[in-house]
Amino acid sequence: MKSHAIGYVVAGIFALLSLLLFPFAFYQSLVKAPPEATMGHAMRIFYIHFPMAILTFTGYGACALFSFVYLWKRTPELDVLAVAGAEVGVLFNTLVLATGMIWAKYAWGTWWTWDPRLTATFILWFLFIGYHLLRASLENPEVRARFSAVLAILATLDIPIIFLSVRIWRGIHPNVLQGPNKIQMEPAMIQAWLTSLLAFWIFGLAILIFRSLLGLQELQRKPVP
Amino acid sequence: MEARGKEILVASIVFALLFLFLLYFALPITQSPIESTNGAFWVVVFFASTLAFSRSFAKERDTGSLETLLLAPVDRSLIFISKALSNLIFVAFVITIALPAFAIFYNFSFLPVLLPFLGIVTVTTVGLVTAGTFMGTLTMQSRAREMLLLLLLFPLLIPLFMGAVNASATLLKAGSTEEATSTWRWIFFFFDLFLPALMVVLFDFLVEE
Repeated sequence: MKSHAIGYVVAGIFALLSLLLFPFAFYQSLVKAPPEATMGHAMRIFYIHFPMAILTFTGYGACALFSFVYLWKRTPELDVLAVAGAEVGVLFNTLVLATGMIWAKYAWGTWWTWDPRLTATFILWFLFIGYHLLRASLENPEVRARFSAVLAILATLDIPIIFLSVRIWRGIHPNVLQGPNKIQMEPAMIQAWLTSLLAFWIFGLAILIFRSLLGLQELQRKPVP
Repeated sequence: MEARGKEILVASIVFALLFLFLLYFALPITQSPIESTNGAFWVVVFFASTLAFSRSFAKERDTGSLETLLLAPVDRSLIFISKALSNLIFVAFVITIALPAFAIFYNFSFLPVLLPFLGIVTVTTVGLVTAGTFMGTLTMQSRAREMLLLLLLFPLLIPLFMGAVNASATLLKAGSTEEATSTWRWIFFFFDLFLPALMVVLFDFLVEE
């Protein structure tokens, strides 16, 4: 219990920081940033959508990393951290799909298109839902940790191929950083984008750490035989 | 075991034919014949094959002889490769029945491009069978393993599925092998070389005691 004190302090600081940042980020993205030239106010959902996408990859990245290290070190704590990553990843993956669909309804006139990024994000969601289903169906904690770590590594290595395969179709998803579909952003918009990203990211990290600590406490209560 | 293997094979073939029958009513076969038929063919192959994969280690699990098998003085990867090979033969059987069935019932005219078409079928089947055998092993200790196998295998195989459907559709329409394989080559390399190699390595983690 005592060993987790630092974790709680760090997570608490992150949560507080994000609470302080959120009003600022919302002011920036809802008031200060001008509406976009063609999409108008609908553009503002991007300030939430983008951080959700980054947090999805943060969660799944943590899951892949800890799964890899688990197969090497075999300490149950690493498995707990991997699950926390996968859970937070699925949460934000669902949110990124949901916010994206709301935006798509306005911008493209349809809830869903089979655009490369949408398709790939949806496949990712399936892969990690499968990860949780596999875990739920295995009873031996050691087997569960080992098998799900193997699946997480396999799923992670499949991700670039999923993106490559769906990209072979021509996409309409805007690429905000480069390319012909790039969103022309004014300084105020860039400021709003970065502050919301920071606020949400710190918030997501706090969730990730809290979830990991919860798992670690459960582990201490029910030690692996 | 032999008798049960035969049962599963017959069941898979009948399942493929039944699926073929159902898809005829679901798809616009009369409007875009070759693409619809091609798509239906791949759906049938992928689904019918999974019946084999969940059976990969059924005998070992039921009789508790996995430990005995692992005692064999051979490299673990050989166990995986031999399981995959026996599944490959199984799936090859299913395709051997399904392909003429599609030619008969759907008027599926793959004969003008028979050899390149069989090439695409072969590279796809190798990728499908390796991933399927691996996922069959991964789910072997789970409850509801047949269901779970489907849920884990198909998202992983979506790129391969897309490659198979699109490459063969291009081949059937354009008739040129170059055009059909150029864009999807990397997908087949990944599923036929890289992923099997990785799975041979990861298999050790699944069967350690």
